[in-house]
Amino acid sequence: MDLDGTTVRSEGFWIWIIQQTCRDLLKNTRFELEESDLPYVSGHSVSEHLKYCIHKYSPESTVEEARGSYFKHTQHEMDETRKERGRKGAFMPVEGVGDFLLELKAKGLKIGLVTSGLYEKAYPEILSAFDVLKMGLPEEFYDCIITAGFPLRRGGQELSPKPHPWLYAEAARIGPGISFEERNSVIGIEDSGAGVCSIRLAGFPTIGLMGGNIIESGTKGLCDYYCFNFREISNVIELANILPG
Amino acid sequence: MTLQARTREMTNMSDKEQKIIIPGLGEVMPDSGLVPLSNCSDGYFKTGENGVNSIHSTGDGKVELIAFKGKTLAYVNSIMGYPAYYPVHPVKLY
Repeated sequence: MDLDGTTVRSEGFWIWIIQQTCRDLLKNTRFELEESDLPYVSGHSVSEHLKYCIHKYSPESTVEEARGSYFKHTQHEMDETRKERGRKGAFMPVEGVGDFLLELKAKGLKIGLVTSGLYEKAYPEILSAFDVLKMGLPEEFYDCIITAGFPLRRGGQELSPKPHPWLYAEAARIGPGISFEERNSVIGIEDSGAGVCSIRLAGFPTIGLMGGNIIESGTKGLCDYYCFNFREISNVIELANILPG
Repeated sequence: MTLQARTREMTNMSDKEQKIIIPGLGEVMPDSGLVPLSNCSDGYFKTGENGVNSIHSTGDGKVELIAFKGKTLAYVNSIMGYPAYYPVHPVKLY
């Protein structure tokens, strides 16, 4: 199951970071992204978001310069979040996700969390959401948490492996130990087009969740189901009769 | 223009002949968001040649699905210059 957008509402925060980056590049503290920019500054990789902004607003800048600024802001805000001084409401659980996760747990199903983001970005997000939900520590709840790992300083690199299948394949194999032959006992849940492709190419049945960019990215055809909320996803899982691992 | 209309326009086929199946994924439905292509963007595959029945990309162009008889390959584009091909395995929820 995906983190950003599916488990935690964080889109606004990450768009705000991109806006801060643009302010640095333009040396303009009042710069605001436009409504029309939003589809291009969310749902893709950091580099793609930044390339879009450079192309539109700051053609003299380089992606490396933008990434440096982006990760400076990210690191600062994540440090603040860890010290409980972060932006209020930056990382809120998606409506219904807490009950949904507890329901799966009560059924004895194994749950993995998968994100393309680095650990240092992902962990404060999920920790904040679990705090709101009063669900304890994420690492004690999930059977596995798969992230893009740690940055290789200098420069702060970030992998963006979705829509490649590696992260989801690893989540099933390394965490719960499910082999490829048993792949139909896994269900992947995603709200983004890249995520849907990643699950499907890993060979797992795929549920798309409304709210991300599945429709806009033209990837609904790769979803076995497209659900409007977690209640609908629960019903699909109930019908699938997936047994505890 | 709908996906079906675009496909019809590209291939000049009638409605009855138009049902497109991508092995491993199923029938291409009008709301799938998939877009028919005549060529894979790296130029390796072309619809109607070397056993390729159809090529579709996701609406955002990030993944292309090359359908053969009984099997499908997915081509994942890369802005970093490292594209990859993966097999599309059939899945079953029930």
